[in-house]
Amino acid sequence: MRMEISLSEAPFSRSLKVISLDGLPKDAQIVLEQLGLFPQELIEKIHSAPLGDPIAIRIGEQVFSLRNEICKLISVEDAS
Amino acid sequence: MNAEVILAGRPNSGKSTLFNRLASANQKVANYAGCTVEKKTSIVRNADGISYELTDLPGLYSLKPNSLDEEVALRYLDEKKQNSLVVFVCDGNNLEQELVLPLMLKKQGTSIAIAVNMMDEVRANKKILNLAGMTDLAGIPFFPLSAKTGEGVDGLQHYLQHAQKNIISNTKNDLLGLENDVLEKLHREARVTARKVHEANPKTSITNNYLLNRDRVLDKVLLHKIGGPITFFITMFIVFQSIFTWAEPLTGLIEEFFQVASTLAKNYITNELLASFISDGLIAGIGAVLVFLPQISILFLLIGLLEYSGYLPRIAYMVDRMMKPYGLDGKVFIPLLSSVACAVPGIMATRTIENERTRLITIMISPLMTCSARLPVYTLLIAAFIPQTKVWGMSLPGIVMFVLYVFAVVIALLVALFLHKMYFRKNKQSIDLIHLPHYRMPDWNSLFKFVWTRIYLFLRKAGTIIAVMAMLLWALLSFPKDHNFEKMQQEKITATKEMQTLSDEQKVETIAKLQNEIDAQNLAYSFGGRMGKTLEPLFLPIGYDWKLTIGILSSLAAREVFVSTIGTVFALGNGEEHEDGLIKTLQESKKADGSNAYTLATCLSLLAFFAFSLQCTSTIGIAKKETNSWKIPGIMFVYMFVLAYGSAFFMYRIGLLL
Repeated sequence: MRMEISLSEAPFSRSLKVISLDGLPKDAQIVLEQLGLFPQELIEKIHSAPLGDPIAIRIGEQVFSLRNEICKLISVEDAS
Repeated sequence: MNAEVILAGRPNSGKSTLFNRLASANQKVANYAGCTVEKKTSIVRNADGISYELTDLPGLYSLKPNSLDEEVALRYLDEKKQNSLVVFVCDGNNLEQELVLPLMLKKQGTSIAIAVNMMDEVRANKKILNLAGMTDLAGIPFFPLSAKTGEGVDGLQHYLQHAQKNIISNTKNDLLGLENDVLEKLHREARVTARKVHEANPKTSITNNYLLNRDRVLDKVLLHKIGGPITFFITMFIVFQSIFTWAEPLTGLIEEFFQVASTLAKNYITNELLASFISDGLIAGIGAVLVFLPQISILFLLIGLLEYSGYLPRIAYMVDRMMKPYGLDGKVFIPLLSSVACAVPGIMATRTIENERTRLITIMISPLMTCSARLPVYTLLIAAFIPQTKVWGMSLPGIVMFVLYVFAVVIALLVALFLHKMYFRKNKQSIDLIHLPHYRMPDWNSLFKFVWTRIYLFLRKAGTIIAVMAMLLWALLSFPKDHNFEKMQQEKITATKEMQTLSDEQKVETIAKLQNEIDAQNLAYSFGGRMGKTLEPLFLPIGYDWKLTIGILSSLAAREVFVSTIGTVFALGNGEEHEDGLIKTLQESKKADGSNAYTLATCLSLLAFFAFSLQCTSTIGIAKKETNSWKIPGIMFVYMFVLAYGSAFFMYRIGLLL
């Protein structure tokens, strides 16, 4: 079985499968799910800002940055 | 009734470019009811004379609003007319993700069509879209196009000419009122459909996306741990230089033009009152507005270039971490930096901040940055009272100037933190999300329109407020006049002219002195002057007599006016050539008891006061325009006055001890 990890700990440049956003408040969950951070979708951590936070994530074919505190509450697994 | 076509889509999906393609030359920019989000509309007429109204909606990611823009967009969709058609603009490269939202809207009963934008890039990515297949599966018409190059736009145009016919069903929406569980179900279903629809297209690999690959290469340099900050500083330096230095010659030219116009009016209009109104009120008032044009045009040209090239969001991404402790985000950097040159373009630049709370805080702290209008005041005071000595090998005046700059930033960040904790915390928290779009060559047409819109809005909306306030202040400081004194002086002037014992040179000098005394007396006699005297008790604790108080009042027009008004109060006349005389006068002025009227303590107090007070009607005007109410500028004026007074009091006391 694959390990479930938080998005903030997940490795860069790997295909990651979204597992759950349950750690987030409901409204935030809905916002991010509609953006494409939906369970079972594949995403990728592209890079982090020079100061380490926020983190850039590829969702579909576009890139968004999310603060570390949010990434900590999103669980993913390595799917590559 | 005209049908309405609403352009919706994610931010950066190319909505505005498409809007510019579809819209007629007659575009209207206004605000959505009750807020500051911009609304662009245009009436589009076809050959048959049938027309429809085109509206460009703010960017939308989901049916759960995460920003004011999204809330406005959803409310607009909820309240739209029955005969309206939504054209949802999608990035053709990201269709699977971007189809979800229009599918949800359709399910909610919205009449919808999809513009698959950026087809030029889709082709370059060697992607093939089966649009007929997708149309069948989704039950929504798809229009492949490139808003940037114009290809395919005529297909959509043709469809929209018959918009009225194409509105299939349009039930009343309540998107903002959807319960979370309903919303989740709707989203789940739409996502399944989006996947199915997308499966109509041949599969491609993500590694084929040349845009993403190019981003990766550029990001490696521009967001590198060392290279990133270096590029960032160079860019910021250029932005800063542009508004500080490059705009200067143009600003100078405009100022000169208005000065000449003002002198001409004075010389050629015989009625003294009318001449004064036209030259010092009207022309000066209009000049006060136009003088900002070079800065605003250059700043927005640069902001537009940064935005359209994809670098601006990356700047926000880089500095986000630095701003986070103060409750701000990365997008506040450019507005704050611009405010170091001038808060007016700085406050206008806050439009790039989507988060309304952050935007308001940024507007409120922008005038604390050391703007260029403070420099003449600082220079005068420092030259007059700060000893020209060296401390640790550095010149003391230089150190004082530097401290003023740094202190302003520190206080601004503390105020931001205070506002964040005390006032804005109650507001709904949103997720700080920055879209890092692909690096692209800017679309020049859109860039030009962007800059022009900013200039137009500044002139039309803020311009009137600024000009009217400048004129009001002129009236306050010009009326009433002390005619008796004027008459007395005139007699002296006539007598001087006839004096045989004086040389021509001496005559000119004496007459100028008498004339300056008239100006000084008139200023003291005016409403403003009387206010200065009335308010003296308020300002005495921080070391200002009525003369300085008049200077403070007049500098409400713009801080640098302080220097010329003080010149007038001391009957020195205006102009730079008198600055040395002014320094000397300030140093040598005596109180009734023979002691120095102004000392180092007064200087420190004035520096502190000018550092923090909102002595600028233009800033007040632009803040009113940008926030759509007098509340925020009112709060700004009061809090900055309290801050200025408090720190001036503190510095005055310290100065007295030195």
